[in-house]
Amino acid sequence: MSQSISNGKRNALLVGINSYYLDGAIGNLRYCVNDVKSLNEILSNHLRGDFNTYLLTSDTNEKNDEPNRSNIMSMLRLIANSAGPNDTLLFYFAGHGIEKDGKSYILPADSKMNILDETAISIDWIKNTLNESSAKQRILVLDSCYSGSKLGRMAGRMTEAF
Amino acid sequence: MEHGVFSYFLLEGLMGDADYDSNSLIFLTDINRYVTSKLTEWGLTNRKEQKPTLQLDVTGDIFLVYVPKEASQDLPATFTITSGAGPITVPSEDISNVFKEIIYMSNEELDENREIFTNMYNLIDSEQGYNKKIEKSKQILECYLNSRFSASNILYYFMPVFILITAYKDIKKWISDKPAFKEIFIREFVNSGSFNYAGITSKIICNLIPSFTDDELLEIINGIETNDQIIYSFSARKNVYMIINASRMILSPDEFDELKKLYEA
Repeated sequence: MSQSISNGKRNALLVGINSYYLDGAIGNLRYCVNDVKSLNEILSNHLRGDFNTYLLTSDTNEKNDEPNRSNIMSMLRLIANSAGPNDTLLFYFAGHGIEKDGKSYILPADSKMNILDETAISIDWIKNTLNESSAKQRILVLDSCYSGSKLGRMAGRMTEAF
Repeated sequence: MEHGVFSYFLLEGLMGDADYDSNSLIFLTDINRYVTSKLTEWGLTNRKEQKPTLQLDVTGDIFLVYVPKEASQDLPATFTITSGAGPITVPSEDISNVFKEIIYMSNEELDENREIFTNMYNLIDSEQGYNKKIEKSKQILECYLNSRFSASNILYYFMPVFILITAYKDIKKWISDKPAFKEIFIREFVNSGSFNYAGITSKIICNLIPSFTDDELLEIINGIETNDQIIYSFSARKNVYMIINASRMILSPDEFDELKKLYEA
C-alpha cells in the first residue's frame, strides 16, 4: 500500500457516551467520554493530528453538543457532504452497540430499545453516508460491542477504512 | 485517567508507540497492527476475546498523526543554559527563572539554546490532564509577556510552544480579554520579515481567531494587505485564507472579494 499525506482538510467527528438517559434498560458506561476527550487532544493538536474535531459527549450542558441521534446524524452528514476529494474524514464512536435481526446499530444517548429503528443509528446508514462523501479517505472506528443479547463494550471493535 | 481497553491501546499507539519505522508518521495500518497485537496479547492474559477488524479498501494508506520527536523523551529536571559566563542550570519547573536567563541573550546565544524551547514544549505536553496543561500554558504566556520588551527576538524560538498553547480552547477564551497578548501576536504577524516567519505567526493568529475583536481583526487584515512577506508566503497561505474568511462580516463585500481573489489563485 502506498503511503501519502494529502494536503486536504481533515475533519473528525468524535462521539462518546457514558449515560443513556431515556431508557433505563441501557446501562451506563464508564470510560467513553474520557476516551473521546483524550483522542481529541491528540487529533486536534496541530503538531500531531491537525484534525478539525467535532465532539459530542454525554457530559455536556450544551444542547448542540449532546450525543443524541439527531446531532450525530446531522453532524456526520455535514462533514461528509462538505468534504472534497483530498479531504480525510474520521468518525469515532465510543458507546453501546447492538445487533438485532441481522442489523448492527450504534446507540445514541436518547435510544430506546423497543424502537431501535427510530432511535438507534444503523451502521449501514453510517457507511452509506461516508460512502456518498467525495472524500477518498474515510475512517470509521466503532468502539462498541455487538454481542446482541447483552449490552457491553468489551467484546468486539471495528475499524474500517474505505 | 481511566480508559477502555481498545482506546487505551489506540491512544498509546497514536502517542508514538505505533511508529514502527520511527519516521514520526503514524498511518492507519500502523495503528491497526499495534492495536490488534496489543489486544490479542491482552486477551490471552485476561482470557477475554477482543476482535478488532480492519477492512481496508483504498489504494493508499491513510495518514493519521505525526509524533513530535521529543514527545516520548522524559523531561529533564533541569534546563542547562549556555551563556558567555558558562553554563547555568535552572530547574525546569521554575519557568520564570528560565526566562530571566534567556531574556538578554543575543540571537546566536538563543540559537545555541534551542533545546530549552523544545523542553518547554515537552513541559506542557508531558503534563497529565487537560487542566494542568492549561495552567502551565498560562504560566508560560505570562512569563513571556513580562519579558517582552527586552525579548521580542525570542518569540521566534517560542513559536512551536505558542502554536501548541494557542490551540487550546480554554487559552483562546482566556486570551480574549488580554489585549496585551493579542497585541504581541498581531504585531509580530503584521511585521513579518520573512516568508517563514509569516507562516509561523499566521498559524498562531489563526488559532486565536475566536479571541479577536473586530478592530483587532481589521488591524490584521490591513497588515496582510500591506506586507508582501505575508502575501507571497506559501506556508502562510492556508492560514491567511482562513483569517480572511473569518473576517468576511467586518469587510466590505468588495474588499472581501479582492482579498479572496488574491488567495484563491
